[in-house]
Formats: sequence, structure tokens, C-alpha cells
Amino acid sequence: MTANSEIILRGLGISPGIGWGPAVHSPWRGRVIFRRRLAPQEIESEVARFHKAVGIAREQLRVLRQRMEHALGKEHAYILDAHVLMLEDAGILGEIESLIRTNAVNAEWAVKLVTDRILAIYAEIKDDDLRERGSDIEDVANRLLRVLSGDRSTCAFPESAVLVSETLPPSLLGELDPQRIAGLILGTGGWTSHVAILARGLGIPAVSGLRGALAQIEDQALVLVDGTRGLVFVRPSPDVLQHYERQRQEREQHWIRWQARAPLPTMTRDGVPITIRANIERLSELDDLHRFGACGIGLLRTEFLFLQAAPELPSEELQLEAYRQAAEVAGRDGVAIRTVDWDENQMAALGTLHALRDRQMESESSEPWLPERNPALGLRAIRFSLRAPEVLKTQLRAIVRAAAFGNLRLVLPLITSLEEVEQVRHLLQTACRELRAEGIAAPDRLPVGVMIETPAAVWLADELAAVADFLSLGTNDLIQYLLAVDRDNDRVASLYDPLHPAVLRALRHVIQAAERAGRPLEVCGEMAAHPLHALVLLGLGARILSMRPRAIPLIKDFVRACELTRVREVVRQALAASRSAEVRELLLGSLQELRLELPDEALLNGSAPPVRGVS
Amino acid sequence: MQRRTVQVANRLGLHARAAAKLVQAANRFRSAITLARSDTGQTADAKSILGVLLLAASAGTHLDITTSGEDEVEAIEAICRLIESKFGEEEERLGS
Repeated sequence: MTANSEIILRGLGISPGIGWGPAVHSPWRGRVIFRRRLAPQEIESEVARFHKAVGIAREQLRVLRQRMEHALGKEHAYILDAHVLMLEDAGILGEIESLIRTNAVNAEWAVKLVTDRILAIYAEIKDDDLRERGSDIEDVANRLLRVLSGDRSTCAFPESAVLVSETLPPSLLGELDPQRIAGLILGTGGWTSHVAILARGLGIPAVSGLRGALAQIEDQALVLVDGTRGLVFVRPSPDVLQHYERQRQEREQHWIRWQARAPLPTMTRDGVPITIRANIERLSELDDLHRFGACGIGLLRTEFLFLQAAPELPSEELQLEAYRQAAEVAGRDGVAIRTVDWDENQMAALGTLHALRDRQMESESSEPWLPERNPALGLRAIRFSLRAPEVLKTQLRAIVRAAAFGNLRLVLPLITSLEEVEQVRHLLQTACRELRAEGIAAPDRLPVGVMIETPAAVWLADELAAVADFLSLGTNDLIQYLLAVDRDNDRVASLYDPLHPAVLRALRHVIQAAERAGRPLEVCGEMAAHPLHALVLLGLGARILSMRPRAIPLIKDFVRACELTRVREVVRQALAASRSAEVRELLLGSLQELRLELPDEALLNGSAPPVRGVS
Repeated sequence: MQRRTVQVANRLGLHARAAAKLVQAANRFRSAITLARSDTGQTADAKSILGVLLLAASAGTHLDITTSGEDEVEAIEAICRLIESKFGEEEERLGS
């Protein structure tokens, strides 16, 4: 490998888009600390340097705390209180100072020795929750070391650079200014990891799963991140850069056009109206509803409320307030609120599980909890809600109460049987009755939808459609369960294929079941946000698509260009294919005949984040 | 000198947030404040977050609180109240 040759690394694209700039390795991991022996006359100035660094680090944390409290709320900022206190702890500071003096070593080395000692004690703690706090100590120590290295900015991140890191620690997430990051290259972390969700929300292109390859990216080398295809170019050739630059310009023009047309109604070329809704993960995204021209919310995820309240459970009032806001912003177009969808390991990580086990699951709490070995198949989503009926009832009460402020629907995740739907309906009736008894208005009817995202639900689609008011196709989980692929595992993620013939046939079965029962069907998985996949959905008969807000303008424009009768015919042919490659070939081959045009990149991914990088 | 024994009642024990609250409260007093685990005798300065964290006091742990100084009465009162009130953590939920 010569110093100037281009290297292409293949990883897992976890946030779409293109960005390029100089590579900057995260200073938070793998820092090498040197030991330097001090001459006697150097000791006092080293102690002074150490105290100055502590002061600077403390001030950084104070500013960061304000910023985090503003962005994420008080409950998340508390962790930084503990960090500040550690930097005020006379015991820790005194120990470091005395090490500098007695051992005549540099401050960095003293910090490392003390941190290692504390971490060793932490490793002995038996309580899982308390032991995990060791990472806070590490976080604080790293901050100190960074300041000692002469880096005085809260965020040592140069303009338009690409961050290279094994993983990202929590304080870094709050700290980095997203406007400055051209792209992210990570060693580990899948599509649904915290970093991935954050990167997509901020529109930062990201590629993960490059574990062994990070060392090949030297500091300051020009790197290009193609988060759409999961590619990283180290020292890209002029041809590659030119190609991406052309794409960037094209994309920018398209994006301007798409956005300008976003508020217009969406109808296919042959006059069939298609409803495009937004998937919302956080309340801050509500602004995007109008900005990107969404017709209401097809999926309001409620996990953020549980995250916000952790380790406690979100109160009825907290939930009511959030649902009310969503209801008011969405107005007549309405909101589909999904009951909480997470698994035991996620809850345990937040401490919520322990809160619950104490209150709800007394019968089990005597046994020690062990991490779920297979969370996707475990106690998650509706299974969890039905096991903890008090939690579900609180959520149902909040939704029912919020229905007074708008047009709300309820959606149930991970349904595998009719009984589950009936149990929720029963609990919903109880909640309404109790509310009325308390003198609180409850609507006569709250539409209840069933997420079709398991093979069981696919084959029960007719019966589920009969007991539900509408069906909601959750393609992400459905594909995961149909193809037995965990898309967070970067070693098998490439097997996750929305154009797999088995997926197409399952989708057809569900869409037809909804048609037979005369029930509305909404698609709310990632598939809807991808033009080629959206084409399949439209061809199969879907008329309501819900997606992340940023993808809406592109998909709307795409839908307007479609002639549905022709699309149906192409998809009919695709359904007969027995290999993904054939399906893909058929669809791509038909684009010209369908007179559909899209920029190359948009074909591969439906999102249109702002393009970052040096231009 | 004042001495009293309290039980850690909040579910998560003296985790980072609770520890931070405790240290912040302790720092408001001039008295020396120490915490000792009744079971192991391990002690910690209540004004040191590291010491408090390393006590690793999970729910149910009994702590002997000692305060000594001019405001020792107010100090022991405040510290015990904070621990007994579960660091204000459980009220949020009871609001529902």
C-alpha cells in the first residue's frame, strides 16, 4: 500500500448521505498515555498545570450541562452533575496531586493511575447498575486528559471533518456540534444503535462496522463517507471526488425542487391519491411535519417518553402532554400512537426494568434477572405491555385523554394473535370507563390498529383485519422476522433485503387481506422511504405510506411521476420472480418504461439530508 | 456529634444521580459528614462523590450517618430526609 493510493472500505451504512473532509480520530478511545519523569524543579508547575486543567474541564462541563439540559431535558443533564462533582472531589484531586509530587510524574500519568485504580474497585461492585457507573469515571478522566493535551475547546472538532471512532460515548453525543461533522466512521454499532438514530436525525452520513479497518485511516487523510452505500474512500481519487461532487450538485437541485413541491397534494400521474405521513420519534420532530409536507403522523413512537423518564416510568401527565402536542400539530390528519416498543435489555440498560420488577412483576422479582439472550424474540413490545398492565393502562389513559385534542389512533406493535388485540381492547374499555367515572371525558371510539410485523400476523391478516380498525405494516421488523436477519448485526445485515421474493409475497397477502376486509392499511417501515421499494408498495396496492420526515419530499415527487396502472403490471411480474436479483433487475429495468427519473443516489436511498463537506 | 441510621429506600440505590444529590446537599453544610455501611463498616466522606459512589449502596443498605460541627443537627436532618425521601425520585412516578 503506497501512501497516496485510494483505499475503499465496505461497511454498514447507518445514516444515508455523502460527506467528506479530513479524518479526525476520536480522542475518546485508545488514547496512549505516556509517562514522563519530572525534574524536581518541574513539579510545582506540573501541579499548577493539573489544577488549571481541572478548572477548564469543570467550566466545559458547566456549559455542556446547560446545553444538554436545554436540548434533552433536566433528567438527562443530571449525569453531568456527577461529572462536575468528581472534578471537585478533594479526595480524587488530592490523590492525583500527591502522585505528581511523590512519584515526580506528569499529570497525565497520575490521572491514568488514579483512574485505573478507581475502575478496578468499580469492577468489583456486584450491583450491575451501580457498577456501570464506572464509565462516567472514564468519561471524566478522558476529558481531563484532553484538556491536559492542550485542547481547550469543549469540542475539539475542526470544521467539516470526518469523525473516526470505535464507538461514541454518551457525553460526546451531546457535545459535538453536528454542523461541523461531515461524516461518521464507526467501528461498531448497527442501524438501530443510539448513534445511528442520532446521526440520521441530524442528517450526518455514517458508516459503521469497520472494526478492524479504522487503523487504515490515518489522521487528517481526506476521507469520503457514503452512508447510503456503506462505503468509505480513504484518499479518494480525483475521479471519485468528481463523481460525488456532481452527484452533490444534482442532489441539491433535486432537493430544492422536491421541497418546493412538498406542500402540494400527492396524486399519481393517473389520478390516484396517495397519502404520505410522517414517522415521529421525538417531539422536536413535530416541526418537520409541515416543513416536509406530511399528512399527519402515521407512527408516533413512544419510546422517547420512557427514555426521558428513566429509570422511572413516564407518568400519565407527561404522556398526555406529549400526545396532546402531537395531536394539535397534526390536526385533522391525525396521529397513530404506538404503544411502547422495546425489549427487556433496553429497559434494563435504563434502569426501568428494575423499577417495574419491583412494582409489577412481584412473582418474578425473586429470581435474578438475566439479560435476554434473544431480545427480538423475547418479552418486548405488546408482550411486555400486556405483562405489565399498569404501564399499558397508564399509556392508554394518556392516549384516551389526549384524544380530546385531536384525531388519534392507537397502534399495537408485535401482535402475533387475536387474543392480544382483544386483551388490549378490553383494557382500553376499562380505562375509558374509569376515566368517565372520574369525570374525565373519553371519546366513544378510539380506532385500534394492528401492526403487521411478524410472520404470524401475516398469516392471520384476514382475522386481524376483522378485529382491528386498520392495519399498519411495519416492514422493518417484518423483514427481520421473515428473513431471520438481525440488521443490527453488521455481519448479516446485507441479507436484510426488502426486495426478497418472500417479502413481496407476504406484503401482497397483507395488503389483499386489508382490501378484503375494507380496512385502511398504512405502511410505516423504512421501505416506504425508499423510492424503489415504495414503487413495490404502490404496485401491491398500498395507498398510505408513512416515513421519516426528511424522506417525504422525494417520495411525494416520485409518486407524482408514477403511472399506477403500469406500476401494478411491473410489480405483478416481480411477484413471479423467485430471486431478489430478478426482482431488482425487473424494477430497475422498468424505470425507463415507467418514465421515472431519479438521481442515481436517491434510487438507492430515499432520504435527502443536507449534503455536508468541503465543496 | 449526631448519629443516625437510615435505609437506602430508592430502588436504584446510590447511583450517580442520587450520589450527586447527596454530595450537593452535604456541601451545603459546614459540618463533617460521614456515611458508613452498617454491614461492612466501609465509610465515606459525604462530600466526596467518589467515596459515595464506591460505597455501592444498593437499595436496602443501612447507612450510619454521622455529622459533627456547628450545623450538625440541621445537616443530619437534611441528609436523612434526602435518603428517606428516596432522593425525590419516586414522587415523579406517583404523580400519575
